[in-house]
Amino acid sequence: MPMPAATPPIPSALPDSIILWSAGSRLKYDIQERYYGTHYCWCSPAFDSEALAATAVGANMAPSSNPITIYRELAAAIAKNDSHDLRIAGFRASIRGIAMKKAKEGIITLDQAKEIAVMAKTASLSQFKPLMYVIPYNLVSGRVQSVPLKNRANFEPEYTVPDLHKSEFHVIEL
Amino acid sequence: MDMLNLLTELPRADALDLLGSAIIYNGTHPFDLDDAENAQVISLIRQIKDDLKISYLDRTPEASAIVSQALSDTLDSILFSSGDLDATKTRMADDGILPINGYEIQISVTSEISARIGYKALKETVINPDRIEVLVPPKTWYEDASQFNTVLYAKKMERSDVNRWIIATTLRNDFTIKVLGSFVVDLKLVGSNEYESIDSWVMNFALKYGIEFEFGEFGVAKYFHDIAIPFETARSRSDRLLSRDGIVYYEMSGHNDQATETYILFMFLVDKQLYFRDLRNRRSTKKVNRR
Repeated sequence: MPMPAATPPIPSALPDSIILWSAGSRLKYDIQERYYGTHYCWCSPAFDSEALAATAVGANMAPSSNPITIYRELAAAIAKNDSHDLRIAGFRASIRGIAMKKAKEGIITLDQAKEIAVMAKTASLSQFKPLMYVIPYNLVSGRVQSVPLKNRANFEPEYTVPDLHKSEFHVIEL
Repeated sequence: MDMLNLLTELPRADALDLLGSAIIYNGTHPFDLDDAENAQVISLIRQIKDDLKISYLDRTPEASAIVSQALSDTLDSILFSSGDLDATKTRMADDGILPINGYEIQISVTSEISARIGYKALKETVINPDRIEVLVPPKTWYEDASQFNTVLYAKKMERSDVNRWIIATTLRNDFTIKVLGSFVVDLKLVGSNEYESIDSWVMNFALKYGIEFEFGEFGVAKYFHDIAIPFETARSRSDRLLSRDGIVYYEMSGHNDQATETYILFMFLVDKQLYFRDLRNRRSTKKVNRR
């Protein structure tokens, strides 16, 4: 089963000066850095959609896709020591799912996929500490893909970058 | 036909791939599945939901989490054959990448200072620390300096107080993490702040409450300068060190013939009277201030 077909890049959909934001976890960052060599990010042109003017790009982002909301929810789950947090449970599962796809594609070996599965299953809450990816759009504009409407939280555009290199973004902790 | 039977009809690699797709599809990942794959994934998820007595139309986060868990459990059962999980964990422990929950945590601290913190708080400090730092041994000890295994963990005692922290120092060995020493540091009392490193806290703590410092086999020194600086090394029996009411950092040797030898980075004894008095005074001051 091949990796899903990529949506065509959208090089001119956003102004070059914009920043893309993506909230992730420390564990995801470490795994992508160690095993894949590149970072897959689902990102938004809004850091906090609620702080934007109503007409701005990303202003109507749903809370479930708003980077700062995701970041805060992760941080709150860790602060409360909530081992049943649904978002973290989802991260544990999706990390394993992606590893299976990468193994099938030959990007990692089956042994490495097993290691990732162990990491995702046994990681402590603190390894899900949130990180915010800060991605200058002009560095990646040719590779930004639009998320199909059926996969978005609402009609507001969302984007992915499937192969971010370390030199193309910063990560910050808030 | 239940889910597992459905998957056992497929080659292992295809079953794992299908489960991976189903996990991603069930979550909120933007992979756009092609029609053929979509049909298989949807069929699998429908089967799981039937097995779990969940309506196929139920897309609530709770239902999605239950389905994800079932998919992940099935994936594990196919991915790890007999003995495979242990072999993977061994390899990861050797590489130093096994997550902390993969280890057995042993609280073997005997000192009075550590005992007052409590088993539960100590374990929580190691499992869910707010800060982690690794003590890197002198590079001359190893060809590969990444083979270190002594770690400092720090956790706030209360979320609202940035000054009071539990610090635990541990040694990793195979599947075991041993908590060797621990203490509570009040950053205000030792002249530190939350933005400094844990080793700075330890150093300031030692400078205030340490009454005796030992560096290797060359006797006693009163001050030390930096944890990362390679002090002279000495060999000793760990049980003798642990019986002392001090804080001890040491590194298990991995590069010579006798793997049980212990190298002391440094150690100091604590002036308990001064330390406990200051902690008591600080607590009572805080209570007064809150009124």
